[in-house]
Amino acid sequence: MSIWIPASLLLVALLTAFLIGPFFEPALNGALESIERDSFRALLDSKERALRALKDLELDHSMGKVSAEDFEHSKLALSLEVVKVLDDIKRHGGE
Amino acid sequence: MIEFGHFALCLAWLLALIGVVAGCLVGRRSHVALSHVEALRRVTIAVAISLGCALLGLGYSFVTNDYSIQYVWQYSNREMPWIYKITAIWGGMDGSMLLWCFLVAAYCAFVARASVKYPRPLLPFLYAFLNTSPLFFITVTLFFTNPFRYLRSALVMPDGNGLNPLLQNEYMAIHPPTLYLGFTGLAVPYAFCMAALASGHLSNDWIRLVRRWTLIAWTFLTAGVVLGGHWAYLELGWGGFWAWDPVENASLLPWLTATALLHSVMVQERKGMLKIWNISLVVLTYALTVFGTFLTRSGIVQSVHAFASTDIGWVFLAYLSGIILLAVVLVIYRRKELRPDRAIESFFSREAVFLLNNLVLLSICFAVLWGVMFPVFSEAFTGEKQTVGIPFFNAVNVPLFLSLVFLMGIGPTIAWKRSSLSHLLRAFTLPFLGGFLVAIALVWAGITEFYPVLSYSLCFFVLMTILGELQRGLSAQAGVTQSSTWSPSTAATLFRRQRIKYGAHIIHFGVLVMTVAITASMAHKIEREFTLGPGERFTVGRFSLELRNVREEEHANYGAVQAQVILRSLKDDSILETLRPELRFYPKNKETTTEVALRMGQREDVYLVLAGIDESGTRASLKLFINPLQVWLWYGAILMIIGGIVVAVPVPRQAMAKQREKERGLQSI
Repeated sequence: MSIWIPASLLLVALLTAFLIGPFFEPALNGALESIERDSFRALLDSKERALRALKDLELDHSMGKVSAEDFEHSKLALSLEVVKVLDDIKRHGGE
Repeated sequence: MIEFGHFALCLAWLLALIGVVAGCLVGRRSHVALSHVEALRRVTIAVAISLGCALLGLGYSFVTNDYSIQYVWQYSNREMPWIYKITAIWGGMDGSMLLWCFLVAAYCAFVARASVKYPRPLLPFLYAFLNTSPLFFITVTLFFTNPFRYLRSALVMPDGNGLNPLLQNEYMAIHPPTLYLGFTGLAVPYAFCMAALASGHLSNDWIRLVRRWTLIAWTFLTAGVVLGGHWAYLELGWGGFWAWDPVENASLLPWLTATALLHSVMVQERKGMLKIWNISLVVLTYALTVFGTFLTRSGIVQSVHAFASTDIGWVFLAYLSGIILLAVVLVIYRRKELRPDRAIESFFSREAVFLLNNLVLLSICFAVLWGVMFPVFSEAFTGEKQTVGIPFFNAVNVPLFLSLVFLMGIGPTIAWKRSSLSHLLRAFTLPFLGGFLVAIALVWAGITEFYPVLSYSLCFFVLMTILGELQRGLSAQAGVTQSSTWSPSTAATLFRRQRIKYGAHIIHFGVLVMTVAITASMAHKIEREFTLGPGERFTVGRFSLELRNVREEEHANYGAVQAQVILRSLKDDSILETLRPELRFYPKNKETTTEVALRMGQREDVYLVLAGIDESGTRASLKLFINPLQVWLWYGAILMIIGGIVVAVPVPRQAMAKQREKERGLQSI
């Protein structure tokens, strides 16, 4: 018998064992994951984006790229945005 | 083993199909069983394992000289060194498609392996779209370009045809796989993008992942394109590295859109703008990789790189249409979620410059695409095939590339949102002055052509902006850590904290070095044709060349005529090197190739080609090219690749935490 038949059978057996493995893992079997968490994720994104913008602004200011007036104005606006987003996150039950 | 390879290919097709169908079915549910998600992840990995087995099966047939297989018979022979037997796997269309399938599946497997940390809502559709590319390419391989076919003749052939002599070059071992790693890697951002659109999970997660994976593919694509240029420079013997050949252009097109994407993606990450624009770029980039494959394999354009023409063009066109149509439908469906969070406030902001940079890159892309497709369009509309050549591409692209270089100096230097006038003056006065002085110095030195002067001055301008940015960054960092501005520890801390920013500066510096080299090689190249007898001399530039003799050589799979030419310095008549250009004849393929003799130098390359010998076999016709600063092109490319790696490879979390702790300690003091 040519070697390719046992080699192919071995490949199929190994891959089948690999693929059906998750269905026999107690930790995974039966567990359900809600995929409707987008509004909360969006809030976390907004928080991250505002904090990053704040960091960028401070860096740009320390390198003299933005005027003192613009810096104060933008920093206040971004800080208010962060506070608002943190409030919203709290309301959603996040930390 | 060939049956095993064929079986593994069929198995991979089935698994990819399961991945696509099951991924879409699972993704449509509002609640997903984790076991299903994990099974989908494993299916994606299993596709790569099966394709790896298929590739091994084909490789085994090459190494064992199994000439009953048509593809092996066509592209290999017994005399070929073993390294070329391996490279012959991708020397023809069928094997190259199989390699393509394996690489795209390998990328998908790596993504699947890393995906346990990715946002769960994205995953089912991500696995579905990851498997789409392997499914398409395996379908093409299996049904149209199958490398596992037996020869129709009942006879077992004693020997094969052998690989195209032009491809019997060590660069062929590395250039196609590197280029394919670039092309195939761009399937990953596409999968993320489509999964985000299909699942409606359009938060920042997917765009962050797109940036990382695009950068990895971009780095490989850069390396692949440059290696291709280096192969053409060494092997084709026309003295240059880039001829705007349709297939070269096909590799440049997705590189341009991927470069645009890498810039605009930062705007979306930070400002929530350009959402539809970024989706369009991701889809366009992927579509252009498929288009490039179509171009190379359909036979619609003539190129030294193209594979034999086949009738599979329509399959690629159908897939291409499907990709674009699906993306358009999903974008329309999700249009409300894709509204920008804010608008651009000032023209003097980084986001505005990045948008401008995107427009220039897309203009270059369009110009190149137009040049590539012009013969097809002209034939369709006038019945006569007209081609556009190097002058068209240079005339359109040189000013666009130079404007891109200019923007490269502006973009990273100005602030997000709005730059102050005082900063603009402080940041750009000196670089502008420097660039202007360079222009005056060049004209004074006798270089009066407009584009070379503009190019060198712009490069100097950008170099000064990069150095200025570095100096400002070091000063700011020194202020935070209360250390000296120019101390190595300040530089190391700054680099660690802003690795992506300074990695991008390395890339930009590499582009500058390449721009200078390209300008020099275009503007100051020397080209001469002459004939020499034994002992005769020819003088050009700083060199003189003397023919010592012409001799014939026999090798395992080719015969050669070699001219031995002594290269001397004109200054003191000292011998610099003996150059040995060759003409090779491969009897199996009935083809003659030129082997260039090259003396690489920091100032210039001396590039000698043996064009022919006279009937007596003693006089040699030679073609000489002196290419100034050529080697700097390759150095620039290496810098770009290093920059790409710096930006793409994340710093281990432990090292980051340690660094933060150290900085906190310093601040508390």
